[in-house]
Amino acid sequence: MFTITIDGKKIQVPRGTTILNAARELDIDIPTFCDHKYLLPFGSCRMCVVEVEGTDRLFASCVVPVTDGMEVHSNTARVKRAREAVLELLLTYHPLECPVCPQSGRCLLQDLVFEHGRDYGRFGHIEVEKRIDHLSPLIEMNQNRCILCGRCVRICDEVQAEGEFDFASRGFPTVVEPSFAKPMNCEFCGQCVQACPVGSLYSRIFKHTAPAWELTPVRTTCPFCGVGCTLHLEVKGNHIYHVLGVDDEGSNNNGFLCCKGRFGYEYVHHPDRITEPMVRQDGELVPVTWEEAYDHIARGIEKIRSQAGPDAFGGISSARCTNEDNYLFQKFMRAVVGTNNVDSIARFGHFPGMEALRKAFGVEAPTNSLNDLQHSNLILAIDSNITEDDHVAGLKVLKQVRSGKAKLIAANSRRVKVTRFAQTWMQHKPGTSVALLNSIIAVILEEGLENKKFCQSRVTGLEELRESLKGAEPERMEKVTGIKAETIREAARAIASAGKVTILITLGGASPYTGEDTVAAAANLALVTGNVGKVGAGIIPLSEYNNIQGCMDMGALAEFLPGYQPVTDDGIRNWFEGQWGVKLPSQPGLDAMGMIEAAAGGKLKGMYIMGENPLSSFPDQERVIEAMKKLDLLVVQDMFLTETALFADVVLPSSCGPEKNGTFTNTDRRVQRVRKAIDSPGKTRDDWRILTEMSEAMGYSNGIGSAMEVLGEITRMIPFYAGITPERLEKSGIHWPCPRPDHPGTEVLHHDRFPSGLGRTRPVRFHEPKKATANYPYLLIPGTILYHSGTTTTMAKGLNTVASTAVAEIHPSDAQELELETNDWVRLTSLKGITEVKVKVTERSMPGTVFVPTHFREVPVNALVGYDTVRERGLTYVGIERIERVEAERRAGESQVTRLKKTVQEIQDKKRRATEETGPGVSGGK
Amino acid sequence: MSADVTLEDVKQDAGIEEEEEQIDLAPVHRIIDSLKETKGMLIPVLQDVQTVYGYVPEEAANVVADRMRLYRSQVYGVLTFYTQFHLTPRGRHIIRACSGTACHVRGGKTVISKLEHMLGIGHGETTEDMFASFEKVACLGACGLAPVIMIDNDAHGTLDSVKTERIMDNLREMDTMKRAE
Ligand code: SF4
Ligand code: SF4
Ligand code: SF4
Ligand code: FES
Ligand code: FES
Repeated sequence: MFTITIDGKKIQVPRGTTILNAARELDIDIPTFCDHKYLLPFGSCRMCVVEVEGTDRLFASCVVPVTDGMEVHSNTARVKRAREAVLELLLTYHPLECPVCPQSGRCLLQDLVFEHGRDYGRFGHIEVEKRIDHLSPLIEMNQNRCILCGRCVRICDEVQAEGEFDFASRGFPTVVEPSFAKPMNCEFCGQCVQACPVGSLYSRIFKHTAPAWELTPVRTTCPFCGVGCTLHLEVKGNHIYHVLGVDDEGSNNNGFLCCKGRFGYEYVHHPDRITEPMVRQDGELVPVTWEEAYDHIARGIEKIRSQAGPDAFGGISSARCTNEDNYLFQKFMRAVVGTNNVDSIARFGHFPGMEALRKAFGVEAPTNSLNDLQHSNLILAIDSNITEDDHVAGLKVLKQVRSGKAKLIAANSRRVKVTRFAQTWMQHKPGTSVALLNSIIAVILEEGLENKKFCQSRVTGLEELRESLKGAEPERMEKVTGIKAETIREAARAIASAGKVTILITLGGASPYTGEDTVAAAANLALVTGNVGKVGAGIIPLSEYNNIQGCMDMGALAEFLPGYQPVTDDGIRNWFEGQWGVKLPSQPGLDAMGMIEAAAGGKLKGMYIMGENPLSSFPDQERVIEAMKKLDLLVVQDMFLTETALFADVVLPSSCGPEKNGTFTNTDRRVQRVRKAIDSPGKTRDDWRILTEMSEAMGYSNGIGSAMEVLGEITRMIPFYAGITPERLEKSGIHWPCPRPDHPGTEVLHHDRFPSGLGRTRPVRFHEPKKATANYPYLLIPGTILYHSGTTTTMAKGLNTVASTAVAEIHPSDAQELELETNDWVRLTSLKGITEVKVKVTERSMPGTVFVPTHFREVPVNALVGYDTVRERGLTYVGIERIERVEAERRAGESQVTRLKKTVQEIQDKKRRATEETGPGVSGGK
Repeated sequence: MSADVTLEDVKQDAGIEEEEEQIDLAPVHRIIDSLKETKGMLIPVLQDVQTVYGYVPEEAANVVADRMRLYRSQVYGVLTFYTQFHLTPRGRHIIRACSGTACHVRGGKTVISKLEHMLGIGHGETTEDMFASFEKVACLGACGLAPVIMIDNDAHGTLDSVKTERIMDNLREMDTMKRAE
């Protein structure tokens, strides 16, 4: 420790601390421009100069480390003069256009000139014309305002690993700009915008809309991916104008965001939002009052219940909605309708993966927090395009890897950003991650590299595992996985000897070829090597959905009451019955797929779908359409008139994330506050309120008056949420389990013991993907891209300027054979259906595969995906039979939207006819 | 397997459309292939590239960046930092006019305006017909002959407006003849 005195105040700091940081600890304010909390010291602006006793020059305090006994003065006349000079020089060429600058009101230059500058300049003002980039989507750069602090250059390199900008030219004409002065073409995370101290880089969406000082920041959680970044929605009136990432002890994103969080909010103000409840009358959806809508639904459900029993009705809850909404939804289905037919999209990939974790460790949740990655020294990323799906978590991985603290082994069949930074990239064939993991474990056991102590004291089932891995040796699996045996052996040795290994696996729609088996095999690996139950080691499944974990926690699962408490357990059910004051069904209900099947088969008569669009997000679009068509009563509660809503008998307009209060539980079990920033449009209501009023319309009062009251009930009913209170969430998110109000929450699970005592390894058999027959030579890889989240963000104008349409990726070798070029349109034909899409020829995807993003409604990828394999393995292997080029006219004639419209017309006609013949039925509502 | 990223890939990542007129990039690859170690070799590589093309085309700079695992903006930064690099094709003749002190006081300004007028271009520009590129430079080290210009590798001194015109007319004539051959 060194002792330093600054302005007469003494402090002890560790060796290596800069004078600036020591001053900050003393609460001494030293002005800075180029310094940034998350960047290496740069020392270029000289605004931070101080005087050091015993020397006669001034030091840049942001780069100079403290020496023992140093005496520093931060506020002498000389220092003041030097700072004035810096500002004076900046102002000689900085244009004085504060009134039109988007940064005005929070500009560091403005503030510092105000505080430290003088009211005249000795050098006059020099006009220089530099470039203004009007062409980049989302972000604009006005080089005239740039003070060359280099924060953007460095943040884009050090944090973002993009390197979009650098200093170009030299001397007076120096600018910061992209290569060859092209418009920006990058990840559009906007980290540079937030880091820019002046108005040189700014949001195009924000500029010239509102002055910064009139905006009110509302702290909330990003509604897009599973990371759950904390952000400020900056609002005025009833409009969101700007978004900034929040960096404090209560946030888990260091103030960083991705393009979705920063620019995706525009969907909120989209003119297509539905703002009135609607009921279908004579085939048309017509606006009604809320009471009429409730009444219509209540009578519809009553009718189904009396004719076919409560289990003829089912509900799909939402991985997007809050915990409170999800909780009330399942409560409505169970306590009011009286059925366990309640499920969500988590059924496709994510929940099966969690089940694997429960079977191995006893808890269906990620074992470690995302921040815990900073303690890992090896990261194994399996089929995880983390920088696109869970961007800010991806930044944590890149940071750990680029700083040399961790090795990265990426197993990914697509070439993505993380594979570029991986020490080892195993480009295994799609759908073979289980074989790959089994091989790795086989090597570890064969070479005796397992963590013997851990295996002995905390693991059971090892012998069966060992037995099952005969034949899984990498030499035998080379053909299957496409990875050289030696590469796998080396990876296995690295994993076994690393000490602290975190395994990342992306599940669900973003990564259709991972599922229960992948997670189970990964859990085996973690157990065998002792990489679970400690800091820096565990398994973190990732999701593209913001609240998929919460949705499952809340019991939107056919077999579980809230908190994964089985509906079949009499004791638990009795307790819930006592609390809710009703009798509850005791048999597991139909899951998401089961409901679609039952509806298509005519057994399920009615459905209530909240915040989900099965027509675009569930596998087998054709089957879903069939199911929706057959329903007597379909209630859709959403922000937009989704494809599914087109089939609805009742449409209820609901508010979205920035319009409501509540909580989300992110992909690492962190429960975080969602806050209302603006009022929802028109007659739109919050989901929790709709559900409460709907219950009342059916004669059940749940006694809820606000979203936060729902949280109160949740914490009573779910033991691992028990210690979470709204007051605690004000400050920071809390990782469950948090059983008591004084419990800090749990970032790392399974210290010392597993809930079930021992961790269990289980043999996982590898099933080779059923594609690659002669008839189906290509494998479909549905997935996500950086610039979008579900279909929601396609309603954000800005993000669409970056990615407005689906682009399929085809490997050059296939493209050559098929005579395809980038920007051609193709028709993809699978066993199930047809979809048409634009192609890009790229080596990102492996030969024999076609990657198609799932965000765009005009390219319904789920039309290609069948049910069978989903049901069997939780996976969606899809063989593509044909890829053919299509011409523009033919394409237009048969667009999916046209086809869909036709289908809707058909149903409407049918319903009208039915009504005419038999008088108003259930769907007529009278 | 290695995590090598091809140019094609990065280009597509960046969404950069192929130019209509394609430049043969094989020489760039050869230059880099010939290196044992790429570390610290950026400037020599760029110099070699410039020797091949006469300037550093954007596509070539991108190949250099991608293959040497540098950000493209970084390479661009280096290219713009050093005046020795040219990012656009240069004329068949390089005309450098001195704007140093000695030349300035002895009428260099008139010479420069004459040249700019005759060529119809300013500092750092190239005539449309690729006849010549024009640059103003600091002291050429021949102050005794001020005002001085250099045409390609030859110095011409004690100039005035008339003399300049004559020299330029000669150059144009020679150039035309040479091209006719
Ligand atoms: S938006 Fe992000 S990726 Fe693009 S230049 Fe700025 S920091 Fe870099
Ligand atoms: S654009 Fe902004 S952040 Fe970048 S160098 Fe200029 S002033 Fe600094
Ligand atoms: S989408 Fe995910 S990574 Fe991007 S800002 Fe939102 S929570 Fe963060
Ligand atoms: S903040 Fe210290 S030199 Fe810029
Ligand atoms: S000043 Fe022109 S040659 Fe020296």
